[in-house]
Amino acid sequence: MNLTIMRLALRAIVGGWRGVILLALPVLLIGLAALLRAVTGEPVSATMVIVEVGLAMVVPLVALLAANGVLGPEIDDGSVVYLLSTPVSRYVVAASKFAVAAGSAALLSIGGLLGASLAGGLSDRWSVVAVVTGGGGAVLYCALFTALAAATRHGMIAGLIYVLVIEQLLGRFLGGFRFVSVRAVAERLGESAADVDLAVADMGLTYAVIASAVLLLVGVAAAGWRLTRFQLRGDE
Amino acid sequence: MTDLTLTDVSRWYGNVVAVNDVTMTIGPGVTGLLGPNGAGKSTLIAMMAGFLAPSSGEVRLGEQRVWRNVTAYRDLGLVPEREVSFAYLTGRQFVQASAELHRLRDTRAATARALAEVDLTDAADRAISTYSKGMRQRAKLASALVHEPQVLLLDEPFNGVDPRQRMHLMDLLTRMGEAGRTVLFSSHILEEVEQIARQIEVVVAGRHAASGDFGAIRRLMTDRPSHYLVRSTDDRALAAALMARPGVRSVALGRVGTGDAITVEVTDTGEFTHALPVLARRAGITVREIAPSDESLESVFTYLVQS
Repeated sequence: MNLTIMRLALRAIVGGWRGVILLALPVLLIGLAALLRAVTGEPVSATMVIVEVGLAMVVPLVALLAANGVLGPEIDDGSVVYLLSTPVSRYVVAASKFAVAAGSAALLSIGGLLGASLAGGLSDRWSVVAVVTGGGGAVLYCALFTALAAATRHGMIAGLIYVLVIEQLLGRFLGGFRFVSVRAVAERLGESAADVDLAVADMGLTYAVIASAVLLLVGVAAAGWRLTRFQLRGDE
Repeated sequence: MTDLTLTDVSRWYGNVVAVNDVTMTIGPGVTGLLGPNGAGKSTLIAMMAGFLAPSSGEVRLGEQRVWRNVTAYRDLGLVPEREVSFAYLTGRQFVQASAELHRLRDTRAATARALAEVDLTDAADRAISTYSKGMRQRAKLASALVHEPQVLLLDEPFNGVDPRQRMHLMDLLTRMGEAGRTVLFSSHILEEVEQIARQIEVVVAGRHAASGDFGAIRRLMTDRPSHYLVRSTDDRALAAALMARPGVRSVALGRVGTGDAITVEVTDTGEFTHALPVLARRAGITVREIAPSDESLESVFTYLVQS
């Protein structure tokens, strides 16, 4: 890890509109939970607030914004060249940037899901689920999105397509897709940590753990590999 | 260690050849990479800086390969044409980050020295977004030389920089060249290059068209037949008088389409420019217009490639 790269990456994330939206997403989730509880006077539906809105929308969006914030724009406009024309290993650059994206996304996701769980009057088991799925989901999504941001100029769109098409659309109708779904893996980890049913029990825990490790490793390595081959295109 | 060597380097994108079989050695001192826009200068610099793989051939810095070799950056500094997108940083933070990434022992001192070298100390604590083009250029330069590299590559460093700042930058590069560093910069303006470069490498349409000191390049570029378009009150009489001059190779009456001018092909530009007004006055002809018809840099380059 390289502290200088991490410091610059953090500034890229929190600076400008990106930082505002990143902060707004978990705050909105908490607000939604608090509002629902105030209106109905009863604890909110955990499946709806924590899983359907929190894990399925807020976590991937936060991860997408964070992962693309640390890498996408710099590769797009070529200014990553200022970081790369130094003797720092490109894999270290990728790992440092990933660490910042994953750390910020995990912090915001956990904050949002945990806050929503508490504001919605849910039991302690759901606090555990919020921490495990929010943190795990954010880190895994970031690994995927960091690799996508490094691989294509359209990392943001590629990430959105993954979430909307593979996870939301195909995953909903074709059960097999849960095995390539970050959300399902995060849910499985959450299930095992707390005594709740998130309807992913048919996925082996071993599979979930190994898939997480592989995604982390491959995601960061792919981003690093892509940076070792970074090409500065002239305008001609 | 200080020599940058290109051996049979080519680079193509699909069917388009951007750089065609270039072999050159860039040694200590200031070298200008001269060529019209789109000639492949940026592609060449990208390959020299390890940010583009040659399709064939090899680029070496001293003994080491530069493509996919980050240790080469210990001896190499790059000032890309690209703007700094870290505009929210101050100049000092930007240069300091570079010093840290190079793992220098005393990053603060190195940063202060680099900022002083480019004369940016006064503005160092302002955000880069408030800088003028020339100041941004200097901030990029400070960041590229904070680790005192032996080789410095600059892609169009004078583009869009006002004349005073340009002078300043030129002084700086000259000093670095005199200090024994290898400095290479690209430009499409001959005057710019010959002011500071000892050695000039000319690139046209991806090919290495000429190489030499500025005197040799200048002669190559000026000692060539050039064409002038002249309009006067009596084109035919003027044409006859001009044709008698030794420095005039041919005169053509009538401009295509309009037929109201003459085109003069001149082998000795100096003689022609002196002779024309004298001839005209003696014959009682008024010259209404005289314009070089092929003085654009592109035509100069085209001539160079053909010869």
